[in-house]
Amino acid sequence: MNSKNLWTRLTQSFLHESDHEATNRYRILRRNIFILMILITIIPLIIMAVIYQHEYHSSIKQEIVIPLQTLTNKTKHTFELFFEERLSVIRFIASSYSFEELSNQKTMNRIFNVLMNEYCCLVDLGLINNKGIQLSYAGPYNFLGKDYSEQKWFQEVLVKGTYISNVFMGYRKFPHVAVAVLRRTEDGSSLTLRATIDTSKFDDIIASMGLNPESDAFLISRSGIIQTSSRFYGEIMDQCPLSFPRGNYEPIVTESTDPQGREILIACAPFSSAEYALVLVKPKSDVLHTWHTLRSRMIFIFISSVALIILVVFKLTDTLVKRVKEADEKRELTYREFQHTHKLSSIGRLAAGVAHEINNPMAIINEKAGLMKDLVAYDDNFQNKEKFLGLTDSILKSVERCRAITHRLLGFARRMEVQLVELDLNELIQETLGFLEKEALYRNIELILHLADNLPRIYSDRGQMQQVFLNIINNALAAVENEGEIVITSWEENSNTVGVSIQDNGSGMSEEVLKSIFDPFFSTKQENGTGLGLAITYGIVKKMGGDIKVKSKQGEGSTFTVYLPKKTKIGPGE
Amino acid sequence: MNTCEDKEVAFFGKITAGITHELKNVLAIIRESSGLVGDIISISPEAIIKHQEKIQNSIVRIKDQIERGVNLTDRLNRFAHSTDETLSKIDLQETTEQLVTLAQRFARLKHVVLNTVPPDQETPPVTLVTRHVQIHMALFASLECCLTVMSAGGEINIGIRKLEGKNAVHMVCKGDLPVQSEFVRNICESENWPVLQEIIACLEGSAHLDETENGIVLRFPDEISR
Amino acid sequence: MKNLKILLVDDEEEFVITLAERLELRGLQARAALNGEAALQMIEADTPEIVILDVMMPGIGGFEVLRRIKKQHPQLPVILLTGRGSEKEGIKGMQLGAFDYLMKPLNIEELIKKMQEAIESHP
Repeated sequence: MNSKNLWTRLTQSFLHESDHEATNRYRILRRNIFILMILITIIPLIIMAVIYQHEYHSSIKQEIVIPLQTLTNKTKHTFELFFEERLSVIRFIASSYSFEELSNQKTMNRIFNVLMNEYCCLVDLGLINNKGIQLSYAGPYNFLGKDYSEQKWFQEVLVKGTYISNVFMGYRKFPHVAVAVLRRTEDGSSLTLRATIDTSKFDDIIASMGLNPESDAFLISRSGIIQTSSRFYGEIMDQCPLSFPRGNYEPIVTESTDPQGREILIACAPFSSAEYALVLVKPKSDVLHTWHTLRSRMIFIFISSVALIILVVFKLTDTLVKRVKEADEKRELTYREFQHTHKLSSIGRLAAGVAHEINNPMAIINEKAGLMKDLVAYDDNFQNKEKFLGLTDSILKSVERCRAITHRLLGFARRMEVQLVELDLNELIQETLGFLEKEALYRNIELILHLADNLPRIYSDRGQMQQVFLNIINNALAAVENEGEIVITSWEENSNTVGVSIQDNGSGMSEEVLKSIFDPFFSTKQENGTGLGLAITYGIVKKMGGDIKVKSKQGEGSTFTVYLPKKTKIGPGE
Repeated sequence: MNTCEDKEVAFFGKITAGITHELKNVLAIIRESSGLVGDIISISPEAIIKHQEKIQNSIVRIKDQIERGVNLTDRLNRFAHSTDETLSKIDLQETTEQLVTLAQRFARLKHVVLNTVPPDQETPPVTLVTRHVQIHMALFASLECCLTVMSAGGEINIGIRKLEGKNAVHMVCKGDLPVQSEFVRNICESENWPVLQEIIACLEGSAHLDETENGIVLRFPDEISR
Repeated sequence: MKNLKILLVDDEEEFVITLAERLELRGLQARAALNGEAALQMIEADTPEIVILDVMMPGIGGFEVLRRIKKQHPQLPVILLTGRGSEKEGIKGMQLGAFDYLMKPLNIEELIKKMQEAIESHP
């Protein structure tokens, strides 16, 4: 229940107009509704946009990354196939010819020429013995008799059996690659067959990747030296300026920024057979072109949606609050009219009551005077002196009675304007009772008063207070049966408040009725009664800064208690 | 609407106070007459016989005042009931007569007599659905306008007519009056004229100065809206 | 009309006593009851020939008394006394069986005339 209470209080304070600051009420309400509606519509929109963007971004990335990886991988395999093919040719030659044949220069030349015709890119071919001495050589260089025993590659080929070198600048300054194959002879020694290949095929393979002009692909060595021509990142044999993880087997795609400041994606596929890695560089903007278009479109939609929402919400809130204000004003007006009508009709009823009441004493005077007339007519001797005196006395008493009644009405009629005066509540209650005494008398209803002596005077409007008590006491009279009892008590509640209670032993009210007793248009009287009496009474008491409470038990009776401040809040002219 | 409502209450108070004052006068006379009888009787049996006529007159006076008092309470009662409902059906002739009786007292202070013109036998009674109290107020305000510009000894004749389909109350002033143009000006400048206009607006009617005679014509619709 | 047994019922003692005196001066005997219960008792003890009944009384009230009278003594004529501006009460009374009604303050001549009519129509 706590969360429910909290929620209720939140909405109450946020959406319901407060009692004070009547002029700002609607401005605040408008602002609150506007903010609430904007938040409710825009926050989900933002959340959705963010999520969407994130999801799309990662999936687009995926879709970019995978093709890159695939392309790089495929091209890497093409390269490796190329190398493997060259190596297998060399291996075949190494195994199918004997050591003597291969060390023969003429044979070597012949083999070389055949190979040159059948395979592209071969630059030279030569045999090296197990001691690292070049025994035979076919090609443009002068390596015959060269000693490679100290060279790293030779030691490597002795161990690994194959060797693929990094690119080096060779004959006529073109880039070359050396490949070598080791063959163990029957007598336990080895021979190494070495060939040099030019890298023109490399460029073809790379060109076959079908890259657009913004992208770049090249081979690099383990230490990062560019092995094939790169568009943007340097010449062959330059150090590659980019840094990225090389990975071990699968191609890895990383994001980076190149020296020109472009955002790039780098795919790197390391070779398993050689110390190369194939590097593919694609600018992010190129790759993410679709993403950017989508994103700018999304942003546009988002902004225009937000603008539209704000406009609509603004207009809507405006209309809504205007309607609320109109309804409130109308209600206020209608209420005031009703209050007025109620006041007027209760005054009217009082006046009518008075006119009615005066009748009896007038009738008495009439009879008395009539009798006097008769006596004068019927009895010449005037022996009825005492009688006459009695009659005139009686007339005077009746006149006094009439006078009291009319005086009451006059006082009431005079005080119909709203005026703040010092009131003695006890006196006001008794005056009000004066109007209702006859009815109580006729119905044998006992009126018991426990009015506090020295009850402090309160500062209030007489007419409205009279209306309040008139209404409550009238209700009590209506609720009570003949022979019933009404007890009116007044007391000082605290230093600021006085209290008056009106208790009857009538039919009482059920819990349900009690809840709605002050609601406008709620009435338990079938034909008569607009149901507004208590609503108006409640309104008056509240306006005066007081309070009104009811306690009731069905079959036992009801008690209305009115608390009034000693100083009232309403201003003059209200 | 608000000002109309406030005025209603004030008007009600005024009329009620007026009636009550008259009742007090009635009672005062009864008291005096009664006292006189008592005094005479107290003197001696001979005095009774000597002043027999005085005693008889006193008794007659008491009876007359009772009659008057009863009429007053009748009027008070009827007027009080005009607040019973906001909108009610009223007989314009009856209401006018009622109001004229109520206003006699105020006219008497100015030494002007109010007469109601009896209705035409052929014309059917004029009934309106309107605000009872405010009709009273409109008629009263109209009379007040006339009273302020009239001098002592004059009279006002009030009659009901159906003029061009609209229900009209015609108040004609007679006596020592200025020329019509001046009469018209005096009325329009009187402080009651705007008050009358306000009230009659609430009743959806109109108040104009009579074109031919010195007087005011009030028009009311058959039924007011809402 | 002489020796007509009249019963006056009204809670205003001064009124009833004075009216009785005036009737007596005119040769009409009238008893008075100050409330409904007393009136009914007196009717049972010694039935009058006509009842003048005020409608506005405390206790069991004028109309209830009228109903009971009409129940016990349908032939007993009743004339009601009402306040001014209360025609409705008079009409209600006649529906309940009253012969007629008069408004207070009374005109004694009118009362006597009405009583004559009532007696003549209830032989």
